[in-house]
Amino acid sequence: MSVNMAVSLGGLHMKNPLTSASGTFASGREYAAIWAAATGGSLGQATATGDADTDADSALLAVGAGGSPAADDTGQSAWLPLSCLGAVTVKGLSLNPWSGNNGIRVTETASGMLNSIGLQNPGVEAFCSADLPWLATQDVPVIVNVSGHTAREYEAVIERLEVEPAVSAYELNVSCPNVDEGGMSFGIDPSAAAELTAGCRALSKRPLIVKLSPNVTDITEVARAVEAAGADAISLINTVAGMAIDVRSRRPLFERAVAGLSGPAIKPIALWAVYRVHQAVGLPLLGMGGVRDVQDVVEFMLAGACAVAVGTANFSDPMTLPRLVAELEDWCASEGVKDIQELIGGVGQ
Amino acid sequence: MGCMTVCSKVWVIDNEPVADGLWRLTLGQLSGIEAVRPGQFIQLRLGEGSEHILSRPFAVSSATTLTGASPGLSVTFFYQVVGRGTDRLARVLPGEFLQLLGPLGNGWQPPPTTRRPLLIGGGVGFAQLNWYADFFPDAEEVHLLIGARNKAWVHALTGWPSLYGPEEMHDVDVLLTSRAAVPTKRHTATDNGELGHHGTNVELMAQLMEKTDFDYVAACGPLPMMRQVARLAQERNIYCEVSLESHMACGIGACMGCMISTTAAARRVCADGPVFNAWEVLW
Repeated sequence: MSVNMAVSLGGLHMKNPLTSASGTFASGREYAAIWAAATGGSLGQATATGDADTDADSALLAVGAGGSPAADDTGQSAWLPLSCLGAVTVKGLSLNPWSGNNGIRVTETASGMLNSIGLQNPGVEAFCSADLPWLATQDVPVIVNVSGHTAREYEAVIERLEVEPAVSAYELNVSCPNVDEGGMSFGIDPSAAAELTAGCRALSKRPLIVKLSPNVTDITEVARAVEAAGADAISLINTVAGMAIDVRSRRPLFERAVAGLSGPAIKPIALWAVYRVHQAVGLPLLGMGGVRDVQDVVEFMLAGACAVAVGTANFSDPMTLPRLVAELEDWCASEGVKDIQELIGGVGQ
Repeated sequence: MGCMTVCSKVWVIDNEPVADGLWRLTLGQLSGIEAVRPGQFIQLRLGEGSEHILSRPFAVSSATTLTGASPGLSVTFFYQVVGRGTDRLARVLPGEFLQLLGPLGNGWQPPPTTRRPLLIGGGVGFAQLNWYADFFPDAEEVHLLIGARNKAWVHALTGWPSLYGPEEMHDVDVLLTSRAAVPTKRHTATDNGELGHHGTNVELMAQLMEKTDFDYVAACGPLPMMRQVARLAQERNIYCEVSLESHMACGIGACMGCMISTTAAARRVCADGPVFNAWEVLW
């Protein structure tokens, strides 16, 4: 049975609901290389690599089946691994380069991890010259995550990207807990979030997604505010504020004390946020938070997500995304789901 | 980079304690991985399930090609049980499968003209250097220097035959000619004085430098040790590489979780290293 896997996320056509979560995937080159290696560089050479590799096999099939052929520099057919995804969401970009935070930046927690990267990025100009030309050849929609210290900086990034045809959509990061100015300070205040959204909205007709923080009393308040300000979609959730302490030094493990919790530990929080926001607003949602298997993807869609992003699970297993692409379609087929959009908000009372 | 990085499930051949707090893990059937170079590492998940979601980076201490019923590359590495993650790893049994990503990182890059390298390791950091010593076919002599807490650690990490008792080891230059063409000199320092120099490997390195004109130093161990080694080498204008550690998440250069500062820029330990020119590291 063939399943229609395509969804529309606020005007962004995705051939399936899966994308990467910003900040876990850089611009996709590193993962593309590993996915390509898994297929032996081309579908024709892809073979099962051993009895122990059943997990990798389904991922390999997804890269092969979803990956598009293209002529490479040598004129030979190459495969474009990222094109198995509904979209690629790249790491947050700011107007100027940001060096990120000092000290320890990541640590594992029970079924999760804390990060304090601090939105390190080379700035929008470097992205446009170094990564975007490559992404433009990968046959996959590109969602650019946008950050800034001020509203003006967010707008400047969008203005720069408006002239780049390879960009498909924007995701405004108003929810990063790891920077002092900008980031989450916009996302925990409904009026500030709305003002920022309206300012960016005026600059672009491309799908505008606003990424919300769970670190608020009522996430639906912020969701309604950005809907009214002209957002096309909402993504949620960003990381949950948390901390860790080094008991030997008796100091916070991270220099800024606070860090962002992600991974399976936060999935119930994220699912609840998606469920509530889906009831509160009419916008399509990009759900994320601890997704690691096909059941998680379906849960997020049933709770109201139109599309689903995978973040921390990329670190656990770099083959997660292509595997989920394959398994999601298999799941729909086995459950008699003809169109994956049937799932969106399909949870009963 | 050469060999492609692949993600696969690998078989645990052996996982056992070899000294107090020190374990050795051997993995087999690394399908798709053709070769691993000294200085490279692998990312290993700590068992099944979702409690430990991040892989841990481990420097490969040796790689061999298995033949027979289960052919393929096999790698060995040593680890210390220092926290929840390595405690979980210590409970993995032979016969289990673990998810491995690798090979990763750049590996050591000695100048091709190297004649008298000094490979100095502190504790578990030494393990890979014993293997690395085989990669200087054109050298006059290779010097290996281990610093460890006690005799048990030295024996476990070096595998050096215990043909010499404590008396001989007290003499820092033990020349063994068993290694193929290149003479290898082995030097030992222990914290408790059970073997070799009673003190640190850095102290012993300073002594050795009075007698031997090294033209390359490779160091792997605790950060303070590597910082001191780098300083000693730089004082004598000897090219020095260090293998750095950092908390990592992705291991492939995507997450920016493992940055270090260098004179050039901030660099990713996983993808730009883990081996760096010691002179460029901002210690």
